[in-house]
Amino acid sequence: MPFFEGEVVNGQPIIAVAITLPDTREIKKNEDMFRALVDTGSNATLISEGIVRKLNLTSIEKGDIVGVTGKKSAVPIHRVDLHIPITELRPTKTQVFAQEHWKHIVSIEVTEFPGSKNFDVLLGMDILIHCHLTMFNGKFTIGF
Amino acid sequence: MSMEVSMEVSKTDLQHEVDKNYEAFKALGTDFRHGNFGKFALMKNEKVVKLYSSREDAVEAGHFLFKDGLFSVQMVGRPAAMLGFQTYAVL
Repeated sequence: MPFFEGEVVNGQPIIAVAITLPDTREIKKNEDMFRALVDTGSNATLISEGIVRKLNLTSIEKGDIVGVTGKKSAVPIHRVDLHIPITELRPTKTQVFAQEHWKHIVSIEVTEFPGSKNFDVLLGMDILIHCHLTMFNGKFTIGF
Repeated sequence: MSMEVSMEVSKTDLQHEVDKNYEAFKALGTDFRHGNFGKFALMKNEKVVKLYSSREDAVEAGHFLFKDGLFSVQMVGRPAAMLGFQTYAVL
């Protein structure tokens, strides 16, 4: 099982991911990487408004999100491809990975959220249920 | 849901249509939701046009029936996305 290790920073396990239009199935050389929070407390995966604007996504469906305070909001639902680099190296915006080093999750539903200063993507249990996640002593390991 | 909409459709018009339809969709009774759980409602002008068993079928029918591209698709019984504690600041 290919896996990689990351560090929990300020209590938040964050990894780098690429988001592309649905059915892209290929990462371009200079694909932008986004910061993704690994959140086992969320049942859904979210992407920020900034990513929606960047990819020029258009939604024809809405759904509700409920925050920890119980506040409910109606937000657009999109469909994208999500790509996770499986590597021990720290991904950067300019780094290029070989195709075999990516986990491609094709045509998934994601919910739009306003965004956070710490992350652009929230990986919820709809994705994490398919991986092996271990968290221990300030580090975490994800395997697919 | 991206790339499914004709580029001629104004994003503002489409957003308006989706928003209106969603409000009408939420107002549908529990009988409708229980009787059609898991189906996909093709919506136009705040009304459910037809229900489909897959999202792809609903989108395809929408493009066929509505040349203006102004329609939406809502899954019946979609659970709300529940956010974790880490996201306390995003809503």
